[in-house]
Amino acid sequence: MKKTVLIIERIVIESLESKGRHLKELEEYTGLENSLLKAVLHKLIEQGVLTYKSGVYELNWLQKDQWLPMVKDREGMKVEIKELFSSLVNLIFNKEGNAMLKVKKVWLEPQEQDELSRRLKEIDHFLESIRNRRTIKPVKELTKGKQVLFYGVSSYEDLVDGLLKAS
Amino acid sequence: MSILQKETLKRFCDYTGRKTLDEYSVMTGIERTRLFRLMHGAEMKLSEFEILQSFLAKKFDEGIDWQGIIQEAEEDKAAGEVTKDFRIQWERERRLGRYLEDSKKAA
Repeated sequence: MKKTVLIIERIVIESLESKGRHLKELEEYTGLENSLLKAVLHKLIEQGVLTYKSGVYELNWLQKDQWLPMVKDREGMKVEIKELFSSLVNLIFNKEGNAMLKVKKVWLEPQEQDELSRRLKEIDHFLESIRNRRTIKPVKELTKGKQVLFYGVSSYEDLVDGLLKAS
Repeated sequence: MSILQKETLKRFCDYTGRKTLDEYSVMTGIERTRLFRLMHGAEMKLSEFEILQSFLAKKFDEGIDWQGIIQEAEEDKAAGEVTKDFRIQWERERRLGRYLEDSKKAA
């Protein structure tokens, strides 16, 4: 079976996208406990995703063709999104953390559907403007502190059909 | 190729990462052409099986857990009867479980 990137591996990879980091810094960026982080780093080095030199962990850009396809694999990303969403649902139902989730089932007339599409695009623009602002005025962005948003819409029928096809 | 042979080869490749046949050959002393045949399903000689198992045990402290290997292989076979998504999820949970075990041992 083709290997997919686990979320604990993904958070390490994302923490090293912009530059190499020492172990302590990676602990701060990922929030992973020391021994788990070391296990992940060890594995990623074995797989050739990372290099380790003079105390610094870096993405193995020289051999990116060997690991980048695994990192960008669509099947992997699909299952990661499901895991993250499932975790959000668990947080809500266990009343943990500061998570928020709204699920609505609502009949929309065509012009109301257009209105919803416009408002969802506004969220896109808002997030894009933040990204642009960061390129001008960077701030320290801890990977673990990033807000994970899910937003999307589908007809009930399509969702049910999708579930039936997947079974 | 038997379940044990397949699992041994899979673990060897998982632990050593993606390498060329020449690199694997240097690591193990097994001829390049034999490695090519093994990776394409040829039966392993007992000596080759022993080489790979010893390599795993020495290099990665991966003890020979025969029961565990057989159990996992049987689980994989059973998982083949369920959806692809379920198999991927199963495999991911196993890997996550291994990480958590390794980190508990190291802590």
